[in-house]
Amino acid sequence: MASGNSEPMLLADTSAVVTGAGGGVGKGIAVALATHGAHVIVAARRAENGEPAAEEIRAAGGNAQFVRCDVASRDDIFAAVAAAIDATGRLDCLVHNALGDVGPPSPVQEIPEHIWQNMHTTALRASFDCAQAAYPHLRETQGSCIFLSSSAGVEGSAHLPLYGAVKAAQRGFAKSLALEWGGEGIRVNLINPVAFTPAMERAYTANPALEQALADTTPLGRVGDPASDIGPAAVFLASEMSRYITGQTITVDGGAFMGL
Amino acid sequence: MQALVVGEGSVAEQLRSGLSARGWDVAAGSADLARLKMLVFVCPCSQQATDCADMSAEMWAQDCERPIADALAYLGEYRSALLAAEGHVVFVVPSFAMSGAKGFSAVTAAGEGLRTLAKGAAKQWGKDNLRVNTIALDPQHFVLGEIGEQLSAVMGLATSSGFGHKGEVAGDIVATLDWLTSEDAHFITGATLVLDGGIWMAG
Repeated sequence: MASGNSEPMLLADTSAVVTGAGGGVGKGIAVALATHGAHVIVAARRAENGEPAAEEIRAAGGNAQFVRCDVASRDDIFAAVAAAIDATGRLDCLVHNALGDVGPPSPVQEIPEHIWQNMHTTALRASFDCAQAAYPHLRETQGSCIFLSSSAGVEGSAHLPLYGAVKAAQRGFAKSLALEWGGEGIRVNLINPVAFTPAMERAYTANPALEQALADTTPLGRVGDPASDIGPAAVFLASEMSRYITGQTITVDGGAFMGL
Repeated sequence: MQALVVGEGSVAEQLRSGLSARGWDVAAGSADLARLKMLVFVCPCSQQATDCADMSAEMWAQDCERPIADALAYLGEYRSALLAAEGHVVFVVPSFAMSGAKGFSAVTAAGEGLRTLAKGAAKQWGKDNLRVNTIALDPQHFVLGEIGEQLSAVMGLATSSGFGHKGEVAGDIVATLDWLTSEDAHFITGATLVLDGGIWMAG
């Protein structure tokens, strides 16, 4: 799988697990990692989108396999990591991107219990489970762990206050992991993306003015593409290019948020 | 005026003592809805360092998930009473939540989660004059003994600054808490006040 006319393959002979890789940002990252030579485990809850995502990567010449993975299940997360080991004998990068239903905008005093359940199982508990599943293997490869967070986790969110809280919690967790694992050569970083996803497509349909409004508030004038805009940041953080970077948050949003 | 101070351990106890000394009627479990003016939620904190690799799922739930769930419950239960009183909510977290801390990954997750939940609530409730802020304290207040001293020293080294002492919760910290809830601070919401004697100055 070529990474471009003159670009080197930054992730040749490596393997990666990407959760929530059936669509949106997760799929874009999976495509980007595979483009640079990584064998990618497309860890997704539903085969309907996970298998086609893996097939799309293979059709383009990359190495990918779908593994059914509901990140609310610790066993599923460990199985996804085991699939990478079975396929390649190693794990170099784990990207935790998956997130359950965040629900509609809600007053903080009225957040439904099922939304809290979704948030804490997929963002909080799953981050913990991903870290524990990946740790012994990343130690072997001096690999990289990447969490997908959000600028809402820095500035808070008036619309989705719980979403902001769990994204901030992931950031606090990642910093401590970076301290705990740095001595063993494992790096832990975060990406705060803004990109066009199926969820955003639905939002555009509901509110056609939203796309232009988002573009107008973004210095680079458009919403990002999961593969070509967000993906390269993940490739960078997974590669040796970022070997001296850990505990950091890279905001990849066209300049929309500059509060870090 | 009543202050409900939610939490266990040294920080919560000293906050109750200090607020009481300043004339507040302090409650610990539940509040008198007619008199409640301030809700203080203290982030729980383990006293032992445990690396993530060695942490049990139960410990993760206790140190990370439960504090955020409890905070949501308290905000839901007391929001109306605080709104009627034009009251105040304050989260109290260890400052190492912002920097990360080896052996305290679950606590740092909870601390940052609470701090950002405070910002979200502040954004929603500001128009109703219900203010929500966070106070971040020296690690030594939350983690007693040698481990707390080490955490504080690591953060101090990172900034090469600090008064060299941690301050007194019942005195120094409560004085700021008292001011923060006063009319003089009426334009402050969604903020984080780092009260650690200058250890952490990273923003």
